[in-house]
Amino acid sequence: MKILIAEDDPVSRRLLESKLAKWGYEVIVTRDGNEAWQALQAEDAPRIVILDWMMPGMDGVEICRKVRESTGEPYLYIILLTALHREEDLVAGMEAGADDYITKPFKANELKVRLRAGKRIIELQDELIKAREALRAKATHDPLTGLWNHEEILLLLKKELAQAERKGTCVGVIMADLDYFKKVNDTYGHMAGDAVLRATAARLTSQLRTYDTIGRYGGEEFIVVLPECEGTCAEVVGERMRKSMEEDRVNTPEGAISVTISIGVAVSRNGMKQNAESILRAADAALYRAKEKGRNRVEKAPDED
Amino acid sequence: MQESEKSRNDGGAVFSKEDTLASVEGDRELLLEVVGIFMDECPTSVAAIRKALDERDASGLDRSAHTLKGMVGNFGACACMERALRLEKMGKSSDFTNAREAFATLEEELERLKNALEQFAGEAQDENTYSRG
Repeated sequence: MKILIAEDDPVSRRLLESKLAKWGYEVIVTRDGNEAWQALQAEDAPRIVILDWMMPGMDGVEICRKVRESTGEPYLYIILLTALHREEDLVAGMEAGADDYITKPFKANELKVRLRAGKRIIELQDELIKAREALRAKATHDPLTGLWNHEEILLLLKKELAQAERKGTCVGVIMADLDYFKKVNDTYGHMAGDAVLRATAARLTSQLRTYDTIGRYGGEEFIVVLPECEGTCAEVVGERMRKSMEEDRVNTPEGAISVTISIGVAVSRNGMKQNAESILRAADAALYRAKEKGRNRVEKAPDED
Repeated sequence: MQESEKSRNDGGAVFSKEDTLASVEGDRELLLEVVGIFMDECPTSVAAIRKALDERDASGLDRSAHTLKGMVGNFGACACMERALRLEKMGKSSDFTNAREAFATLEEELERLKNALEQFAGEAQDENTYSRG
């Protein structure tokens, strides 16, 4: 585990560094508060820091305060180093956000166990964050395909529309629906149906640009949001998606199945305020026409005037 | 007060071998290294205190004396720590009365400490040489 020390006295600094290294920590050494603050801004910065109370530039308490003002994630465990007779200052230090303190000259064993406590807290927080992120992923993604779920893809579409209005660009929306999917389920069973949905998700995703997003809107229906999609861009992507389904059969536990997809495309108007509902309605109407005209095709919503 | 009596009772030991060896956890090479660092740093530390006195910079005196005190604390140099602490307190309370005199006694004690540490480090080096031989 990485640990940052900030100490202006070179003797104490070297002694501290040598002990920490001996205990297996990766030590990042700084000589004053400003250097320490800089080092803490780095990506992958240490999670435990030992700060001398009194330092030139920013002192330990000031750093505590600044660290706690920011988001607090991931948590930084702060130990203040202080001289014995300054114990009255400790209240101020702990109130500024320090987790613990040790007095100088420090006793090795004491420091060792206090660091262990800090490490425990850091590890606990990491576990909590991991669990929370897993829950968040669960709440925002469709478990079968791993795509964004209904609520989330709508939110993303709204965000993109707001941004497009600000930037004077447009957003393309693709609504895609598998053809005769009910028949797949009825003929081959739900296992095969699920395999088709997963394969469809993968094929459609492979046609996206890096900044496009795709979600499972419901049953066998998918929505793709394409920011800054000028001209025929959305239709081109839609056509590629249609082809990607048509050209190869999908492997399922019940064997390879031919599946096609119908696609409706709508594009918001450059820099115009447009709500998600109206553009989705337009894409849905285009999709309906694609189905009407025989399926396995792309239809575009007419440009409004 | 008690601290000063204790250091006198120690027969006026300039520093504590025990504390010093504890600081380096018996690592003689590290001992030599930190004594070297201390020798190099001493003039800078003293100059910082002198500058604070010359400029009657109270917070500068507080900080520079404090840093020096922390540094010599690693060697259990009680007398030196006390004298640095005296200056630190003067800085804290912005009271420069007798500050020059206090600085002079600190410098004296620092010289004593440097000599004693140099000797101690020399002995340690000899032992190092022997043990390697």
